[in-house]
Amino acid sequence: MIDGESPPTGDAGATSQREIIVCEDVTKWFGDFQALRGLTTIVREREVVVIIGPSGSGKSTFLRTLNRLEAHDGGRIVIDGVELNNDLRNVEKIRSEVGIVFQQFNLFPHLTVRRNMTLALTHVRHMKKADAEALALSLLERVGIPEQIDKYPAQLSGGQQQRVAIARALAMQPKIMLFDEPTSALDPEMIKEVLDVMKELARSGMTMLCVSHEMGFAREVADRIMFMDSGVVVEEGTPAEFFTAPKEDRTKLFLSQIL
Amino acid sequence: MMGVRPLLPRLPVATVAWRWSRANLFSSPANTALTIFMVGLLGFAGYQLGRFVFISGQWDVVEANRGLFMLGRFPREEVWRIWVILHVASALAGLSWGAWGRIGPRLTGVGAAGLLPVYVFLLEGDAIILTTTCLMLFAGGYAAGHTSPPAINPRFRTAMTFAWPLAFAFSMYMLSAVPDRLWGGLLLTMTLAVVGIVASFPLGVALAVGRASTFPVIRTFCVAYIELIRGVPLITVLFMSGFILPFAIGTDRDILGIPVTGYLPSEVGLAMVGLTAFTAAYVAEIVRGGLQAVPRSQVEAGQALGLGGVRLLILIVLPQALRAVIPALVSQFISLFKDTSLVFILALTDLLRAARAATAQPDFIGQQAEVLIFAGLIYWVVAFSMSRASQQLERNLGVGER
Repeated sequence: MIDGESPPTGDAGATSQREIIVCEDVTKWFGDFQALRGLTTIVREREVVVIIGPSGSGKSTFLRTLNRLEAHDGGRIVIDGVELNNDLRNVEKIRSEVGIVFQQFNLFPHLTVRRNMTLALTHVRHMKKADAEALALSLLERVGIPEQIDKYPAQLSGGQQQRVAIARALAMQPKIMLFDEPTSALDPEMIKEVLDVMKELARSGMTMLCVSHEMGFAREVADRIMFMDSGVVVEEGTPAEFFTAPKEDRTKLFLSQIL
Repeated sequence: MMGVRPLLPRLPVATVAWRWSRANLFSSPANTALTIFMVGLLGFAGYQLGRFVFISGQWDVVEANRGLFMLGRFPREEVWRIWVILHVASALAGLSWGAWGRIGPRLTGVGAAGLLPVYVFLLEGDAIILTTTCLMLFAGGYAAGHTSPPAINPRFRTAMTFAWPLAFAFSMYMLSAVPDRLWGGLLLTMTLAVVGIVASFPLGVALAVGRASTFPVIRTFCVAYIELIRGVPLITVLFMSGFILPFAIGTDRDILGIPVTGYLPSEVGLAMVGLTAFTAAYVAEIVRGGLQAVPRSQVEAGQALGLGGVRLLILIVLPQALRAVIPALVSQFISLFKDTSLVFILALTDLLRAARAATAQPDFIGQQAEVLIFAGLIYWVVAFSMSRASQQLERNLGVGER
């Protein structure tokens, strides 16, 4: 669903033509194991991409190269016009524009929800404490748990922790949000509350890349499904194309196993 | 065994005791024999100790040398300095405890029971009044800290974290008016321990962080330092700092042709350097353990938020690392406190040396047991207090632990 004519309006799924992530022949080695074997793709602003594939296919690695939690070994990654390389200033700039939500939430256990959310705002963004706290509260309201602001992460349920993690990433006002299997560590009854937050975020026009096994979610909100296997993109397409008429054999095999 | 309470009807105490001893003390002939033997042994030891403490022990040596044990040769007309320090410390301790912790009835009881013999046997004259004002300051501070409204409490805590270093600097300033070769007894022991803790902690943390550094020069230096110091007994380190360091830096000499008038550090200063240098290596290894316990994912979460380098270390990694190693750190500091007794090799009169000096007096020859029991009791009281304080600290910091 690429709508080239209209400028971004905040409509559901309205994707602009502007290329915000460009990956060209990206490779990544872990010792002798090649996790990414020349991955090439383009993500446009406001696009929601759901990445699926068998375990070990390089999905998470790909996501993590995008904010340099893993450094890629070959190829190019350009994010919002800035090339990701060993230049630390570029890395910092890109990290401040790219939020990530982890499978295991990774909240800071020694800090309250309030401090978890305001820490980077005051220390990286140099925001005033009162402004940072106001922003934190408004984002917690957006994810539906403002009353938890003074709790410690261990006092929250998994679903609540993940919603705080999403709010914490959003607090940095990123242009892109990465989700690395955000619901895989959650009990079934908590998955919905996190997916609801993500759906709302997608509708608001956020550019999102999401590694997920939630096919219902992928069908509903993705503009594009990207199927990865063995470190490359095997097939991409709109959910309608992808799920009903997959072209590649590997895709068909994978879908037959999970659906 | 103890928990025969809620569901079953309450049995008479005698019955419970009888069943318990049948099950635990007399369950077999061998157990019965062991029980009888141990009761005899413990009874004998208890009897001997009790007889010594209350009947045959001659405690006049302790009474006559209270000043020596507490202060060594510290000039008595300057003792007011120590009282000022004690008053400041009492007030701060009360405020801090009130702001962070809680004193239950049991702790109050233990404290009162501990203070009673101090008042009866140790204090006289002005010291009674001044100790009482210290206690009142502590109690007042506790009340103020404890009843401070929730909105003020965090500020209270912030103020306390700044007040303690200031109080430390102030105390050292107060003491420095008296030449340190005159410091002695418990005063010297406590000063060495406090300075050692305050100085070795940041140094040890820095060494631990340096050991984890990616710069080979820094890492190699830290590893070399830690392994060198850990491989050498403390008494050797003290010897080195006491006899070799002054030769190396103290005497008048030319450095690159420039004549330098030597600054000769005092024995107390050298002891502080030696104790700090030694303890820092151990603190470094303890903290390294803590750093390794912080999951990699925490670092990644911080990096993803744009935190890097020093901020990541100070805001995310160190708080979690240090929290995990509080018990080991306090244990190391208790060791340091007790190891200060080795400074006698630098001809310093710490608590233990003062105690032994007392038995050299003609009037008290042969009363080693009394002074050693007394000195041991003081060491134990301080060390035990540190241990309890660390448990309190753990409880306070434990909020939200995963």
